[in-house]
Amino acid sequence: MTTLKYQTVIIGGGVAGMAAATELHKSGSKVVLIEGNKKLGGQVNNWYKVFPNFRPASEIVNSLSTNLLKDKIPVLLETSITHIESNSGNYILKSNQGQVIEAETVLLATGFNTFDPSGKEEYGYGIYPNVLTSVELEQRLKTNTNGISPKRIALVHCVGSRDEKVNRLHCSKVCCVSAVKQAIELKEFYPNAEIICLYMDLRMYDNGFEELYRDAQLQHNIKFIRGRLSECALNIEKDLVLKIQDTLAGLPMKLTVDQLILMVGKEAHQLPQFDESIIIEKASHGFIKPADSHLNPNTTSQPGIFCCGTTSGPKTIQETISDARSASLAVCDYLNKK
Amino acid sequence: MAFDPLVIPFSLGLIFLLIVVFYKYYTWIRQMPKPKNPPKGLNRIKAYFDASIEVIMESLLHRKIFKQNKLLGYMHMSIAFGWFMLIVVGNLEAKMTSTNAINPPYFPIFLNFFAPDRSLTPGHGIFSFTMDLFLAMVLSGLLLAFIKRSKSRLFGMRRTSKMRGMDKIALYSLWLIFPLRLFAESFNAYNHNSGNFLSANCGDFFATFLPVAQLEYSMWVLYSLSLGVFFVALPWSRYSHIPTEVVLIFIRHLGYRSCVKPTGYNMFDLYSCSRCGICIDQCQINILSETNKTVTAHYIYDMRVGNKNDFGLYSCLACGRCEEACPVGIKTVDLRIGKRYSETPQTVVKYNVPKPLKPTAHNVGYFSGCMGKLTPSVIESMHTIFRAANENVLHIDKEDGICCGRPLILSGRVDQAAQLIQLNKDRIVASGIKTLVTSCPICLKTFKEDYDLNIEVIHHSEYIEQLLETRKIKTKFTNQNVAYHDPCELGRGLKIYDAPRNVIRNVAILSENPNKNERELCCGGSLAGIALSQEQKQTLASDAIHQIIDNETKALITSCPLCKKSFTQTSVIKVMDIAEIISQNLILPAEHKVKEKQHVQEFVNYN
Ligand code: SF4
Ligand code: SF4
Repeated sequence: MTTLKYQTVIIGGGVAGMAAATELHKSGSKVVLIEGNKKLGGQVNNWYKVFPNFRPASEIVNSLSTNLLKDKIPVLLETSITHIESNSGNYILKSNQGQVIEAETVLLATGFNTFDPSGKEEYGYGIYPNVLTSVELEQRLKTNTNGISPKRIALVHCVGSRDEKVNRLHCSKVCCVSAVKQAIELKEFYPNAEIICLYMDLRMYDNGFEELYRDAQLQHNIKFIRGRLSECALNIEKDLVLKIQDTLAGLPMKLTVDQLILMVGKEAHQLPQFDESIIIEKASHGFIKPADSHLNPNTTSQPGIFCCGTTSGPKTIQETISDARSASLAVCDYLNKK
Repeated sequence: MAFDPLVIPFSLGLIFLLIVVFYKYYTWIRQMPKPKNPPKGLNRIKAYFDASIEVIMESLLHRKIFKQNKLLGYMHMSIAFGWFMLIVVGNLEAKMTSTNAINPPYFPIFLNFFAPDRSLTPGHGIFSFTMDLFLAMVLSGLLLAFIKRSKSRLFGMRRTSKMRGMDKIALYSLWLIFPLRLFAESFNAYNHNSGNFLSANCGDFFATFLPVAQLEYSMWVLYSLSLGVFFVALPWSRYSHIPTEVVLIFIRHLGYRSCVKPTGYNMFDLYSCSRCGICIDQCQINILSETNKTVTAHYIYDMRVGNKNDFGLYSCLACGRCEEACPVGIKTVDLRIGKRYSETPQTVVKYNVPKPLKPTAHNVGYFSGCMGKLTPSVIESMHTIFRAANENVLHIDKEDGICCGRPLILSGRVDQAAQLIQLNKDRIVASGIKTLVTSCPICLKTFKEDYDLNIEVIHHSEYIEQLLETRKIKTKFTNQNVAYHDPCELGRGLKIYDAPRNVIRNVAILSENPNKNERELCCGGSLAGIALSQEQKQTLASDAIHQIIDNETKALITSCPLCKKSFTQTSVIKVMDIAEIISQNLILPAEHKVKEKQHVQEFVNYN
C-alpha cells in the first residue's frame, strides 16, 4: 500500500474545512480535504436560509466548493479518518477506505453535532410527531413540507444548551438568532398563525441580529416570552400543552400549541481516534481547547495539530470562515518554521 | 466481702457506664411515640422471646456478618461471644466458689486474684478450661481485628472505617483489656500453680524471663484500669452499640419503628451502629470521592459527635444499599432524612392545587406522577396498553395533578409534604376509584406508606402482569436480549422484584446482572442526591449501566421514569420503560389496529 503524502490534511469538509483548504492552497501548501459524507458543506447543508439576511445557505457552500474545484484541490469524499498516530514529527492517518496518509500537519475541522433532544423526553421529541428540531424545520422549510395551517407554533430556545439537567452548560451562540429567523419564516408561511419564542435570554450580539429581533416584533408580530419550558403533554384534542415557568412574571403558565420547535444546541463532533502519544486537550464543554484562546485560537495542545471553526466551540458561519482563514495562517507559520 | 483497692477503677467505670446508659435510654424511650401495632397478649411474650433469640444470634453470634464473610463473622463473634461467655462462666464459678449470697460485681472479674486456689470448687477443672478457652477465643478475635486495620480485603471489605476521637481511646483500652487479663491470669497461675492450657503455659513461659511474683499485682491493677477506661469511653464511642443494639432489638420486636421525623427510636438506631464498615463498599458515592464522607458508617460518626458534614447529608441518594447490608438493621435512610428534617426550617405553605376529583364510575385510576411527566413515552405507552386491554382508566393527573410529596420528604420538608399528601389524598379519594396504578415507584411507595388509602395501590408492572395473566392483552415474543434494572424504591423499597421480570419475559430474553434485586445499583438520579451535580449523577449512571449490561444486551429495561431519565443520558444502548417494551410488542386485533392508526394520524392534522 502506498502512502499518500501531503503537507496538511484537513479533516472535515464543512465551511471551515473548505475555507481553510483554499487559503492553505493559496499560500502554497500541499493540502488534501477529507469529508465523511458524499457532499461537501457539512452542517450548513442542513440549513435553508441563513441569518441575518435570509441568504440561501447553499450559496455559501457553492461558492466555497467552486473555489476548491477551480484550484483543483484534492478532496476525498465518503472518507473518515479512523486513526492518527505521530511518526518522527509527522502524522500518519488511516482512513476507513484503507488509505494511509502522511502529513506534516493536521487541521481538525470536524465541527459540531446538534443535541439529540430525545434524552430530554419531557419536551416530547420522538413521542409527539408535532415536536421537531430546528434542523428538521429547516428541511421542511426548504422542501415546503410543514403541513397545513397550524394556529400556533412555539419555538423553545436553549434546548441542550445552558441546561444543567442534561449536563450541557455552554451557550451554543446561534440558536437565539436562528429562532428569530425561523419565527419570521414561519410567520411568512402561516400569516394567520401565532408564533411564540420561549427564550431564556436573547443573545443578539452580532451585526444585524438586534435589527432582526426588532423586525420580528414590529413587522411580524412575533411574541417573545421569557420562560422555561418544563414539560409538554397532549390534551384530549391532541394539542400540545406546554407547561412554562414565565420567569419575568415568576408564574407558571400553560400554552396550547400545534407545533413545537426545539432550538437544538451544538455539541462537539467526535474526533478521530488518536494514538496515546497525541494529546488534544478539550474544554469543559467537550470542544477542543485552544492553546491560547486570545492569541492562538487555532493551536491545540499537540504541536502540528490545529483546529478551526466549530471544532473549538460554537460559532456562526461568518466566524467559522474567519477562524478557518486564521487557522491556515497558523498552519503556514508552523510549516515555515519546521 | 472481698475487697482490694485495685477494683476501684473497674467499679467506678462500671457505675459511670450504667448511669450514663440508663439515663440515655430512659430519655430516648420517653421520646418514642407509641407503636401503631404493638404485639398484644401472647404475641407480646413471643415478641420478647423472639427478641432474645435475635440478641443471641446477632449481638453475640453475629450470624448476618458470618453470612457476609466467615472471617469477619468469626472476628465479631469471637470478641462478643467470647467475652460474654467469660462473664457468664466467671459468674457461675464465682457463685460456686463464694459462700456469700451476693457477690460484688467485681468479684467474678477478679476471681483468680481473690480466690487463687479453687481446687475445692466443684467442677474446677471444667471451669478453668472453659475460662481459658474463651479467653483464647477473644484474643484470637482481637488479633484478627488488629490485622483487619491494614488488610481489610481478607475480610471481604475493600474499605474499612477509620477510627476517630473517642473511638480511639475505647479501642486502645479494649485492645489492652484482654492481653492484660492474660498476663494477670498467667502470672497468677504460675504463682499459685493453677490455671489451664493457656494461662498455665503462658505463666511458665513468662516466668522464665520475668519476675512474675512481683508483677502480678500491677497486672491486675492495669487490667482494672483498662476496663475502667473502656467503660468510661464506651458511651461516646462506637462500642456504645454493645448495649444499645440489645435494646434496639427489643423495641423493634415490640413494634416501635423509625420515622423521618426523628424520635427516640432513631437515637437507638444512631447508637447501635458499630461502625463495622460493612456498608462502606455498598455506597456508590465511593466512585465520586475516595474519602467517602457520605456513607452511613462515616456519616453516623459525624451525626453522633455533631460534626458539620453538609455534603454527606445532602449527597446521599437514599438508595438504601447500606441499609440492606447493615447487619444491625439500622434504618440508615430514615436517619439521614431525619437529620435533613431537623436542619430544615418547617414553614406552612399555601398550596395552590387543583380541586378534588369528581366521583366517577371508573374502577381503575392511573397516576403518572411528576417524574412520569418528564417521560411522556411511558404515559403514552400506558395509554396504548389501556386501549388494547379495553380498560377504561381514569388518568388522575393527566392535565392537573398534585405531587405525591416524596421529593419534599427526601429534602427534609416533611411537614410541607404532609400538607401536600392530605390535599392529594382528598383528591384521589373523592374520585371513588378502587385501584390506583402508578408508573412511578416513588409515588407508589409514598401512596402505600404515607397515605393510608383504603384502596389497592399497584405499580404499572404489576398491573401489566395482571393484564397478561388474564389475557386482556397479548404480546409477541422478540428474541431480543434485554437487561432489567431494579429501581431503588420499587426493589429495595417495596420488594417488588418478580412482577417486572415476569412481564419482560413475555416479550424478550431477560439476562440478569450480578447486582440484581436488593443489591441493585442506584441510577444516580435519585431526588435525594441534592448536593450532587448533574455531572456526578451521570458518572453514577454510567458506572451503573456498565455493571448492568454486557455486549449482548440490546436494551436496558427499567420501571421507573426517573431511572429511565438518568440512564438515557449516558447509555450506549436503548433504555426503555417496561410499559414501552410491552406497548411496542402488543398483538392487536385488526379493528384495533385501525383505531391505533387513526390515533397516530390525528397528531399531524392541525385543524
Ligand atoms: S450502618 Fe450498619 S453496616 Fe454501616 S457501619 Fe453501622 S452497623 Fe455497620
Ligand atoms: S443510602 Fe446509598 S448513597 Fe446513602 S449512604 Fe447509604 S449507600 Fe450511600
